[in-house]
Amino acid sequence: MTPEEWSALLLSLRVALWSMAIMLVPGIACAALLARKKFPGKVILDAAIHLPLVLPPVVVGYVLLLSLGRHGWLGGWLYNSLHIEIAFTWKAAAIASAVMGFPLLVRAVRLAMELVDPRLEQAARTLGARPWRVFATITLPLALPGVLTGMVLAFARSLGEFGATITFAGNIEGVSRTLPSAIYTYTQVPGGDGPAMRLMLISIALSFAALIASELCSRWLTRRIGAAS
Amino acid sequence: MAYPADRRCVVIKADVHLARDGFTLDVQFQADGPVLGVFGPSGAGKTTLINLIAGLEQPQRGSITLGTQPLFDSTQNVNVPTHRRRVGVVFQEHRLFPHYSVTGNLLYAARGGGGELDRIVALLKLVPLLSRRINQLSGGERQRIALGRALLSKPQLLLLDEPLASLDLRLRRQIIPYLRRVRDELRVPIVYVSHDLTEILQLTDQLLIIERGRSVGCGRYGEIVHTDAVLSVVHDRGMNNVLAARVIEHKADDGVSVLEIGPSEQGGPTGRLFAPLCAAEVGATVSISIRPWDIALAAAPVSGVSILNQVRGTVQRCTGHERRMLVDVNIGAPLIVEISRRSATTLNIQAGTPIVCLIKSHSVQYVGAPSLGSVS
Repeated sequence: MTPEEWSALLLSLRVALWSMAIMLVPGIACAALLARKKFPGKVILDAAIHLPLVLPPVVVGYVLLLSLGRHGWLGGWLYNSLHIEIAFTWKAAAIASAVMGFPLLVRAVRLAMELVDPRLEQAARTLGARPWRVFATITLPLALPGVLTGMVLAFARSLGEFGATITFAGNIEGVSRTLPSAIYTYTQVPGGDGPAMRLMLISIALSFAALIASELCSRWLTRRIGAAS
Repeated sequence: MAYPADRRCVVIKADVHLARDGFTLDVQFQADGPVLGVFGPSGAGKTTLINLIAGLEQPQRGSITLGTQPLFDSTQNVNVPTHRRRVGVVFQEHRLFPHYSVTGNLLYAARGGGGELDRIVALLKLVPLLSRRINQLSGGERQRIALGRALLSKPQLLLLDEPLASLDLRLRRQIIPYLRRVRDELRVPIVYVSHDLTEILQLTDQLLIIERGRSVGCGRYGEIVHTDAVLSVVHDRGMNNVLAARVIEHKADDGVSVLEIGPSEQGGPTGRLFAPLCAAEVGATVSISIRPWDIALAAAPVSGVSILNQVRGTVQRCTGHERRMLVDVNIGAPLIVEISRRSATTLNIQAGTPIVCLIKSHSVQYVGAPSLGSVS
């Protein structure tokens, strides 16, 4: 593999891991809200979270560019007061991936949380556990297989994210050229078939490994948790 | 120990109203004994009442007071959240946390450190269970762990919501002695909910009777049963006499065991009873039940009958209800006897009359496992 191909692979992994790190806490929080709470505007929140799933990725990327770009309302403030530049860096790729993967994570976690027996949470409350402790010791651990599934789905989505990334982060070699961008680029130049093929195989292998790992993990967790009742 | 020192104080007082689709709960009661039994047919609102006391549901209006502390008061806008009520609950289903070990479950709410754990483990005989996983426990063992877990949260009040309902008869009998131990040794006030009157009477004679969401009676069983409202609820749902008795001797050849009942709390006389031969050791305390209609009354001892038990007592009270009469007889323990109006008239039964209770030995049934004794 050439240094360019290596850099694309490592960048993709870095972007995917960071995107997961960004979305994990808000994802679990949103899932918990949707699974356990009743509040006005719940439908709106639900729809907003799912929007990236149905919008063209380019639109998502463009919205991010408009808000977080150097001339955007948030990006401008970040650049002027904190000298943080996001658009057209690897950070932008991570954010784009996070936004695109977010609904997948939330859906999986929410589903798992809805399956947690609320009677166990009640029992914990009668034992003196505050709401946050009930969540941390009962709801979240019992929903862990779902959290794992959601993370893997989001991770895989991130490895494959193209449209939003190229719009918001660009396709700059060594900066924002992730695996899909690299493959796309190689297919556009003469003699790029070999590298494109190699990167394609790597993509498939990575995603495949992630899915299998998650399945094994989730089985082990379910066995640990579920067999009881 | 943080348990109330004087368990005869007013422990819980409630006056609650809750209406939801097709069901209204309107219950007032006040309990001051060590154990309050809540009895009612299925669907009467017993579990809802438990949930209200535990704070898992809120009444639309009313108040609930535990000791002197208001837990809920709609007029004062008081609603203490469940986790600060210090009300332990053992639910119908064990509700143990599947992802925790047995010890992890026990320690989930533990207050008071390891000494307290050792004490509860000894009291409920949990040692052999500690190393097991939740899914390796039997139903009865799970309920014992659930009981231990609730006790380790040092509750001010323990709510038991049909904790034996999911168990078969044999297991039920094994658990009741543990509940008695909790009652006698930990001195935690208990609200015990069941649709099995005999089960409740093994623990207490202080009852709250609810039917279709309403309280129809609250007080000592022997007293409230004389009201028509209570009698109509309990009569065909296992109305019974439950007594504690000590095994005096076994007469294997005669097929009987000799039991001693009483002395009553009033310090009355003790009586001896012949009962079917049992396996309990001599000296053990057993719970026995005698149906009120399986007891006959006589003005004087009768000779030439097969009935083995002729127990002397005094009529305490006598009330008429449609076709039947209920007679309270003190034979060292209070006994409720049901006879026809005609019999009552013939015998001229009144409060204060000395009387003989005729009880066939085989009308005496054993209803629980022998007591465990006390933990030193």
